[in-house]
Amino acid sequence: MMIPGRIFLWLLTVMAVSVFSIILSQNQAMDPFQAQYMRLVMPLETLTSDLANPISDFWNGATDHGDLVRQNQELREEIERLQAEVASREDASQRIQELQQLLQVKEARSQDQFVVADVIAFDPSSVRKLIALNRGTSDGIQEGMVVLSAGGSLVGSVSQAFSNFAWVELITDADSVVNAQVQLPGGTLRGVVQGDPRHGLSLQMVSPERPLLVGALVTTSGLGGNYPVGLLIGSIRSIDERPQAASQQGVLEPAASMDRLRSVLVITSFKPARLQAR
Amino acid sequence: MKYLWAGITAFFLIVLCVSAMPHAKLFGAAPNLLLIFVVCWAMIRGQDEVLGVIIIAGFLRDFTTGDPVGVSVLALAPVALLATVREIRLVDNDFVPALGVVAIGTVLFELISGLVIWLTGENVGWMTLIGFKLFPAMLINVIVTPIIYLPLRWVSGDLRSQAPRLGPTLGF
Repeated sequence: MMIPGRIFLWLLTVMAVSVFSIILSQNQAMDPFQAQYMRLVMPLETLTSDLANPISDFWNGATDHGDLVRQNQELREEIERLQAEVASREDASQRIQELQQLLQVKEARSQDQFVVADVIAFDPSSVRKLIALNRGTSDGIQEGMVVLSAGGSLVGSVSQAFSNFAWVELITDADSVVNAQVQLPGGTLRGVVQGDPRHGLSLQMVSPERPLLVGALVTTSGLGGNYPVGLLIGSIRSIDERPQAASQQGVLEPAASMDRLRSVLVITSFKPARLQAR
Repeated sequence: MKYLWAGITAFFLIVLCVSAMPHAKLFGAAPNLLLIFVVCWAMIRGQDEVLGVIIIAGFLRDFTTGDPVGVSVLALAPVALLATVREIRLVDNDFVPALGVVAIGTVLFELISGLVIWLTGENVGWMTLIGFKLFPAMLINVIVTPIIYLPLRWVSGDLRSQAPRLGPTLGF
């Protein structure tokens, strides 16, 4: 089938404009426009996100097929009724609990300074794992700063910071690499935690001097200077059996629920090495 | 005027995509409302009109997400070619071809987005994308298509018939 001439011309024009826009984006020339646009969009995103959270809680319960199959019709209706009641009534109290958790994290790390931020959007792309926060450079947030969950575990780092909002690259993003250490009986082993599009988090390049254990906790090692030492990343969910390999590797279960983040803490007192180098 | 309506609709669909749809995943994928909207527009209103809608929708999406501006326009561009299916008239309605175009458009959208992001230096898990993400994304988009197709069809009516429709009142 021949492509009409005007469509072909349109395609060429669109490709040229898009490539030019991408180049401008990569050189941060589009950032001022994006910042202004997001200033307008953010209130709407926050409102939609707040409206979606109770529905999400109900939806996640309703799609738990294993429990629904096992229960009879009266119990299923009762659970749906209770979930709807919890979702509608308890959202405010959950918010209070989150803030209390955040306060506990701040008190546990009294030497650090934090900015509390709400998650207002998730990047819908299948290849990127990014979240948007409603805080930015005007609140002291800079690119590279470390982000924790409400429970104090590692979520990711700021990848782009604008005046009133910021994008955070999650540790489950394929581009994320964190120097880590595995807590084992008798000591720790160093390794690297990398985002994995399929499994979420993979642990790699661990010395074979001691065997890994399922359930072992993995924390940041502080090597490289981009993350403080001792932040909880997750626990080992499975270990790849490779007897002849030079290093051990496995899959981690992230400590933070990346799909259900609502509020996070940005550590503003810790300057990553990549920021200090500028 | 119709492009203004398209832009406003695309804007609200994008806001839904980034703030509400991640909470409504099925088979591990969230519906790409914007892609579905562009395909439905192409199948209902024709190839000529969708050329402008693709540009508006693509740039709006990129300004709202963390992707480089221009990625979505490139990824949506194949819809302009796929819209020729509408003119072939394999079946006597636009809905069935729309489902097929949504499915193919989803695959092309994800692959082109991944390719462009990879070319900008970011790491892309190709095996996972192709092996585990494409089919669920295609499936959820096809399932959600009627939710966008039917209202748009109702507003537009059958452009090939003389039956009264709401479109002219809104400036379509």
